[in-house]
Amino acid sequence: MEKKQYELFVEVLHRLNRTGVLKDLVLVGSWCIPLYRDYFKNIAYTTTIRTRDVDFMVPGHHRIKAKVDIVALLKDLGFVVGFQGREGYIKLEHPELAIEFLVPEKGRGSNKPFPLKELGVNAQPLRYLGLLTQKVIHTEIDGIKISLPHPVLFAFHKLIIATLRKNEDKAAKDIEGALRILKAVLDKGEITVLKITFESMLPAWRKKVVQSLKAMKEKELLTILEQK
Amino acid sequence: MGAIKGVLKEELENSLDLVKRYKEELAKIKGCLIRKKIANRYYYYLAKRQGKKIVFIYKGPISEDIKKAYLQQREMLNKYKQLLSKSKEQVKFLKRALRGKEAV
Repeated sequence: MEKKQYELFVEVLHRLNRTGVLKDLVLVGSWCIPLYRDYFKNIAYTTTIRTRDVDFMVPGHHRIKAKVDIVALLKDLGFVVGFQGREGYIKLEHPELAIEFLVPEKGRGSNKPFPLKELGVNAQPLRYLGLLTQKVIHTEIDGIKISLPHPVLFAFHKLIIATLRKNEDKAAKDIEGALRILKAVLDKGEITVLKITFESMLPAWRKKVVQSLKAMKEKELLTILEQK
Repeated sequence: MGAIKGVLKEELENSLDLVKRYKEELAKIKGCLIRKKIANRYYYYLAKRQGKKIVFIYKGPISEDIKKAYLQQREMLNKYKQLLSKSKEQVKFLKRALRGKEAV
């Protein structure tokens, strides 16, 4: 199943790449964790559990030049359109994968789905998502270049949203993934990157990161981040 | 260990939803085009289920495009059936995993 899931994921990437849309998307969510293997190639880096959910973030929908019907593009692979929540966010579902589109929430925020007319779907606006695009790295899968948030930003984002989760299991999964990445960053010797990134964040966001680390009694990371 | 249980619960919800979606998609597909050979000539019929019966509706002469569209529809029907069965298996597996005596 694992192999089939990966093959399907690569096929989705190929199709998005062929239509010219992939370059305007950033892969976020648990699928980033195994893809950071390249970034941490010289150290021991093990990946955590990941769900079927493949989340693509659209940092700037106006940048998308190609007009693509994503639903039609993936239909013959067996993807069906599902609607999530009362708001009706579109999710492309398959037994192996579920694809969702996300946009950073701006202003006062709203629960309404954000229409992505260029792609024929809608996106879920999420708070703090903008943090992930502050620094983007690139990796290659089967010859396709894909964008991912910098691992440190990914981990900090997970720690922030863990404080907002009502579901304790999900919060635990977020923190577990974040700590694994932050420890890999330390093993890689990127303490400066860690500190600079932390200091570049808004004070309220930094507070949330610290809150999550304190809850996990992560003394080493707290000392590094709180050191002046 | 809570994280694993949480993931399994989420996956179960998603899989149940997926079963529903595939059933909806299958219900949308109304019949399959079939070819019957009668006295050395081919005739096309739309075979569809009406309750317990399968009925054959004569379609008359049909163009290549329509034939192709029905063929694609048939391929999708097979694909959806296969994926529906896979989703049902996933539901079964996840329910069993969540029912386990040990804390998952």
